[in-house]
Amino acid sequence: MNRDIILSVSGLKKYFPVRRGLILQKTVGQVKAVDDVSFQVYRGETLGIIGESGCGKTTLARMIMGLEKQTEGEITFLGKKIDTEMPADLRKKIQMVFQDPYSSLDPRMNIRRIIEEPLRVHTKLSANEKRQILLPLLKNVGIDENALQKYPHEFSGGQRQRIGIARALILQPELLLCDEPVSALDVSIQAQILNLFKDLEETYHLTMIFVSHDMSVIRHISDRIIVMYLGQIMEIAPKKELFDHTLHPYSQALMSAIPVADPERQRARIPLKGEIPSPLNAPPGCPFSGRCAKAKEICHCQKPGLRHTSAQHYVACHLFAEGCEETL
Amino acid sequence: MNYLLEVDNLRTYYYSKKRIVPAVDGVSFHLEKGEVLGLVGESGCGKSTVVRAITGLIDPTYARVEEGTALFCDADLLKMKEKELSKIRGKEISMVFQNPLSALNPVYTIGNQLTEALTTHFSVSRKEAQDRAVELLRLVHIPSPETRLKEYPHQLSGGMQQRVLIAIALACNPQLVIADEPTTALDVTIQAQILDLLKELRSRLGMAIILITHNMGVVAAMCDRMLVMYGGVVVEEGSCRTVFASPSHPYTKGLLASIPSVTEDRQRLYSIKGQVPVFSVPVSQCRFLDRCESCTERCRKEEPPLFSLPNGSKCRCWLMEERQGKEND
Amino acid sequence: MKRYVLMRVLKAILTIWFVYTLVFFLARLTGDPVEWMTAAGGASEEAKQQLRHNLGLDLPLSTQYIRSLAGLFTGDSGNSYYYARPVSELFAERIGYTLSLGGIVFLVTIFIGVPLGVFAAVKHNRPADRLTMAVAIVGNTMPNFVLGILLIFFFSLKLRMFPSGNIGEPLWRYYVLPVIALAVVPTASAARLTRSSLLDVVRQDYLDSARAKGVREWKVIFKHGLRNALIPVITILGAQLSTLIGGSVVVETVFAWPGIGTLIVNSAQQRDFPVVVFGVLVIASSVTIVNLLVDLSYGLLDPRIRDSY
Repeated sequence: MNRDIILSVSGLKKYFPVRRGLILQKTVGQVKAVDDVSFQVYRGETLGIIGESGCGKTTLARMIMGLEKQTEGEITFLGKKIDTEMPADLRKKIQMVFQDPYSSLDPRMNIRRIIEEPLRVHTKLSANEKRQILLPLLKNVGIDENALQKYPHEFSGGQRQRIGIARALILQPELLLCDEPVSALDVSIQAQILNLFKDLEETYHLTMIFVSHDMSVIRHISDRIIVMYLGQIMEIAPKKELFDHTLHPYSQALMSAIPVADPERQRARIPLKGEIPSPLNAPPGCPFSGRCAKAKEICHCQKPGLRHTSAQHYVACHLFAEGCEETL
Repeated sequence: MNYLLEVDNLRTYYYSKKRIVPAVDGVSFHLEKGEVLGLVGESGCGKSTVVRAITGLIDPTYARVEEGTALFCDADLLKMKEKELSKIRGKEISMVFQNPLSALNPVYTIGNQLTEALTTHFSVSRKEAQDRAVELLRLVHIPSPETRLKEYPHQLSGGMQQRVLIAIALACNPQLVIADEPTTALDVTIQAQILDLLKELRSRLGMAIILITHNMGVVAAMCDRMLVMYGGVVVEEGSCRTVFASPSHPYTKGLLASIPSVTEDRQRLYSIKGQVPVFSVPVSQCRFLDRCESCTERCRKEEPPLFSLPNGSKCRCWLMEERQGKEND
Repeated sequence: MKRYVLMRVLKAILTIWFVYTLVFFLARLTGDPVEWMTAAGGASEEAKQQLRHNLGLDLPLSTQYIRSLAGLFTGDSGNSYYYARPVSELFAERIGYTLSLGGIVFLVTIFIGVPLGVFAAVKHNRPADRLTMAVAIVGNTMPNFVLGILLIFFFSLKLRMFPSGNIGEPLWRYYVLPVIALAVVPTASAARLTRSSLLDVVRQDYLDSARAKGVREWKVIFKHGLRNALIPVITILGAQLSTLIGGSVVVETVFAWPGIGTLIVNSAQQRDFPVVVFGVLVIASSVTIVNLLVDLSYGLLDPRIRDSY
């Protein structure tokens, strides 16, 4: 397997201060949106990040994109440290596809301008050269070139997401970050876009980070999966490994919670008591300890580190503490 | 036997400057007492409009019920005056909406909104209403209900808000609860809790449920029977087991095949080509035509009726003509 | 919440003090009141000097300022140069007329403007809505003094139905025209704002869920819709009404209304500094108090705002 690291994140934290008061604002607490997250992205892979609301997946994506400055920690992209002030030649190598195809396209620009915008910002190509890049790309994402003069409102949700993808790909980025790109779409359109991602992955040898709350989408698209909960990584494993040997109780619960589209195969759910705690008053120990059926005493007071259990499989859980080396 | 709800040939059109859209175009179905019926389809298929039309909640500025009957306990909901209908709404038929935060009024306490459901239909004392409200919150497993009554919606989590909405819906022991995408706005683990709750309540209280959803997994987990809608009409109807095991309509087949699976790996998803067109009245061909892989000349000329199939399902597709038992509709 | 109110009151006091100081010094830039008082001629230089001494105008400006400010805390607002009476007495006589006028206008706005807006919103895009809004737009654009003059022209000069101004018996007849002149703009804008705000709220799911409970339509609108729709309405109305309490100078002048508006205008012309400065203090205080009440009413109307204090 190709082990060329494109992006490396280590000890990444994002704390949002919570302020109260009118004139002299006091910081009364912190929302630990992302709390000490480390992982790597290898060239050519699709890394899925899954988690429920408040797990920090979107903040994480925004930090990697340089849209949000980290509180602590490092992001290394192509061997260089990056934050909100990335040089333009690095910035153009990370592109993003957003969740909402309606609000991420400027309604007053026709789609030719929208898709070509990154070229105008980062290059000085002539109109003809731009056309040379644009036309094959349009074909690959499935937009009719006769539609270039139209405006975003004239397209359906699925078409708009194709436009967003074309805009992200036009600079041939090294890394494509997708934040819930199919969540706003209907099932039949979602399937089209997921297939499109698969095709583009092959055509352009894409490296992708794919953020979603939907386990079935993540399973379909990813090579490796990170499970997040309340700002922390619970488990990282290659897809097959994660589904065949799910270790973390949260990952298990998350998988069993998904209703299966087959009345004959209704699985016994692992009932999860309680709700996702607010990241403002996260428990001191394992963030999942309050809802975990297997929680021991230690889980409530001590945060488990991410431990290596088998090839490429890491889990942050005290249940797997013995006999495993603490690494990463 | 008498059905709890029997909808016949319901048509509801949306009027815009450009066209008249057949949002619901001749939908018929029935619901037995205590049955859970799933109304499935993608956005714009008319599934929400069906229930809004029968509960009188469509916006008259652009939508109108053109024809049809909706017999609820033998009384036609569509012929009722607003006054009569509002006596049934909340008492006999109640609703749970998609987005729990926006479905609760932000400026009133949970207690206020819960007791309102009671005092609207019964003359009860403050104390009685309060007691019943506490009982209802217990029923939906909300811890420390007495304190919750004094809280405002924004102080609760999404899952708790949805429980409150369910409690409101159950306040008057309705015979029918209509749940419109009740779990779509929730996280998966919370969705699972809410689905379990709905199942439990249904077996304890025995009310019928119409569950509107786009999520096939939710239908499979909850429903006895299902209607698949497309372009304002029912394209397939049958028991959940039959439809999931052997879908008949090309749209149902495509929809099921296009869902990525959590339990197995597929290289590619099946995908239905194209997108949902916008229809204008009158429609005189198969609505799924342009996206269908097995469409024929006949599909272009005539809209297929709902054929009854030997396996008990009904399917609106010409391919079923030879398989049908008898022609219907 | 308590802390919030306390902080707001402190801020309000600071604002009032700032405005007071500003006007105190600005007024002095307009010239020497003694010159104006003796403009008729005949007064000797010594007599003028004596007058200045009596009024305390010969003291350094800073001393005058500190005296005036200290006076406020001891309840001494100083004497009017022109009337030679305590300023507070002058205001006490007149503020009742201004407040009662403002109060009635406020009630008219709330009880006519808001319901009209609700009516228009309920009849959205139907003739009744269009007509109401057309009238409201005309009303909104009509300057109140122009309206005042028109009202006087028709109802008192032509039709002789109501007196043209000042005050007399029976009292209510003297209120009718000034109230109309002052109330038209805020009532019209209340109607328009209520309508648009309610139309936004009407799209919210919680109105449907109230309907789904079987709640009657009028109750859906008034209980569930209106309270949510009122916040933007109150913001704008508060701003408009706070100026009413300060005395609507122009309209009071048109109707020769014996309120504080006319008093302040006349005093400014006469360089009667104590009256002007005190008048500004009254206006600034009332504006700040109304703003404070508006802000606090948000919290009453919406628990989410209450929680964010």
